[in-house]
Amino acid sequence: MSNLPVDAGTVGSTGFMAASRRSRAFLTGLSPAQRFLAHTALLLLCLPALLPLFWMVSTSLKPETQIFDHSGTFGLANLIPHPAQWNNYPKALEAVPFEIYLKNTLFLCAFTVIGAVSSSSLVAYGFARLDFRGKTPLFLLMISTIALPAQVTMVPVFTLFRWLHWYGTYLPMIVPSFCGVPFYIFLLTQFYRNLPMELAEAARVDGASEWRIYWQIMLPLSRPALATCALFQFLGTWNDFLGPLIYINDPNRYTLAYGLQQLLSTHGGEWASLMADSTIFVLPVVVLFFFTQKTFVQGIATTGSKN
Amino acid sequence: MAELKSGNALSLAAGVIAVGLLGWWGISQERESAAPHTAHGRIPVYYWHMWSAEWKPVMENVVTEFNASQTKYEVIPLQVPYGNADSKFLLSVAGGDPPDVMAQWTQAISTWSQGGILQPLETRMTPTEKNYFDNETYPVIHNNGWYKGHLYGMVMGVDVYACYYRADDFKQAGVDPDPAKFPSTLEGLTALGKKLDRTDASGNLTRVGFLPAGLTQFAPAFGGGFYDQSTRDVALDTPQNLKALTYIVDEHNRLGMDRLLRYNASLKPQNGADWPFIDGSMSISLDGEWRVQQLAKFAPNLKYHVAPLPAPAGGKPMASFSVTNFLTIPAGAKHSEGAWEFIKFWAGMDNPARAAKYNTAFGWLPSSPRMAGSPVYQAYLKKYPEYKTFVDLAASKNIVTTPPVPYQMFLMDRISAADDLAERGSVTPGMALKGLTKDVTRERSQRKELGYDE
Repeated sequence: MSNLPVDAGTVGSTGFMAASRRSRAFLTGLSPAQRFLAHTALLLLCLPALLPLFWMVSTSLKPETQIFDHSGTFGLANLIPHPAQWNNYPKALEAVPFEIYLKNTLFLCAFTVIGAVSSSSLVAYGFARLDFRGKTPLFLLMISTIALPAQVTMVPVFTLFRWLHWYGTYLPMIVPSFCGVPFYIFLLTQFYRNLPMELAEAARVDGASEWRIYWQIMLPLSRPALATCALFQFLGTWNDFLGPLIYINDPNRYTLAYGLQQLLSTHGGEWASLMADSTIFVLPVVVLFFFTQKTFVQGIATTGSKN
Repeated sequence: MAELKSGNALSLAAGVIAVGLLGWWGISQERESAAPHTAHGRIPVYYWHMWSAEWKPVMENVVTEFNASQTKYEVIPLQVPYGNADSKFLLSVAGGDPPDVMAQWTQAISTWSQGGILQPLETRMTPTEKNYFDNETYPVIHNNGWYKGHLYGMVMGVDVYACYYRADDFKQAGVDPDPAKFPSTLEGLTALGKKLDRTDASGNLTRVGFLPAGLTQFAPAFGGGFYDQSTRDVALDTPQNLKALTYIVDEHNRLGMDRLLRYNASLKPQNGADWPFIDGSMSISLDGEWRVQQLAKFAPNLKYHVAPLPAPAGGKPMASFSVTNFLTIPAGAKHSEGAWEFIKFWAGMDNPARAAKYNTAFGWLPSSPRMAGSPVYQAYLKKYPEYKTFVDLAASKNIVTTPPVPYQMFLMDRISAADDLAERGSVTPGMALKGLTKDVTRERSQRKELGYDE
């Protein structure tokens, strides 16, 4: 079965590939001058989105006195630190126990990504490929939970975890991810529904069990969709503020997103350190997205969530 | 579509059980490693607070000194983000696992006391402590944090407001900046403010001498406020409040609403080094005592003085609105005795001179004349002489605070909204106060319908 002539890149992603080819053809069809103008326009459109990032990096390299320099007016020239204070970075890493927070964050990310992706794909496969009584109402019920704001369930969920003696631990943030995440289940269900039925039928005729079909055929084919879910989950956990706020009561268990708020105060704050730490905080996400963007965009296109 | 076979279901169930057992082992390990522990086997006192960044070590020093003084209790501090502290706190109370001590910055002691969320504190005081608290602390410390005859919050930090003014602007306008010669009436201050206004060639304001804003800030000087102690009820549409709001609106009209809008839009945010007083956008500014330390940090060469807001004719001298922060013991706290030990240690009920060290480190006003007179506090005043005005204000009887009614957050929100409407010129001051009274009356009747006693 492993030698079935199917490739993850060709199944379900035809639309994405075609769209990508069309956009590339549009740009390659332009004259050099037109292409220059098009790229300039695109870069200019990017500026408003990139400005906060520039400000963050620039502030991370400024001395305290330059951050709120009130002698001149605001301009792009103000973004350039003079001179650049590179020692803000080592200072920022010492301002909070960055290494501990990073370790805690990566620990949570690893478990929640594994939990969310494995459980969601299994549930999604069930909804997409198996027949059982009450499937449609269950699917609708599952989908409807996406619309439920976390604040609505906050008190009963907190009470439940406290009753389980999980308050103060990472368990309230990890264990639920092993019970499936409705949004990923929805995405993956759409993906599995788009895979050719013939693949599973052929395997079934060869005597493969349902588990084997899921594990050896469907799961490898769904790599782009799984990567999308994994990236969403990673970003969600990486940036999660509410979970650690509610459940963690030990500073040694803080995550980066939660721990960095300690550098802010109501009447001031350590802005250079905060921005330096924030730059380091954002960097892995940017690098991760840079290396996985093709898979990520492909996954988005093939799960039907693009439109 | 395939149907789930019984063989598949069995292997799936076996897999789930195996994963479940592995998970249970992981859960047990995690629960064990997260279990609380204290040094020397002392009783842990969990304390949540919101002091972050440069204030965190200052706060932690108080805890360290308390722990060093103890053989029975150990305070374990936890900094929680200010914007989300109330959510975390209320959730922990609802879940039955609150901290033992909670710092409160929200002016909601009455609201939470009515909800049964806090424990009374005055019942824990020894006669000596009660004597100090009743007879020695300043009125703003003693009179806040009460609800229906019980003290639910111990006031720690007090913010009061006075006039900061730029000495060079005064000199340029030919006015002596000596604090002794600062206008003694609000009318005099207003006239001086006019003299200090500056406009550009197009008539746009480039500097405002003195811009009154905020009913809460100005009502006390007019003899107004929002609560009548004699009737124990809110007092909103009073002649004094009307005079205060009319004064603010008249000044806005004099400068021109459009011009003021443009001027305000050109101002930087009010925080830290961006405070418009620093860059000279205003010559006189009514602001809080924390600006003294900020000016020392961000504008060490700026020449300025501080004077109390002078009273208008028929008004009250040495008056100010005040916002306070509290230490509380939540209902359900497991170690409330240890919590009280920590609170009274920090408040200096047994030794105000020792607590002066903490107040000066935070840049807080003293809580009693004994604390103000301590060598530590006197040294602080020598370092920051402009602080003296605020210390004098803290001792004043004309300080107005958030009314101790259980709908205090709603009330302050509506006061701010009514003030805003009047200051923008959308309604007259009289209409704004009448609308405010109507809103509050409606809220009170709705609360009665819901079963609240007030």
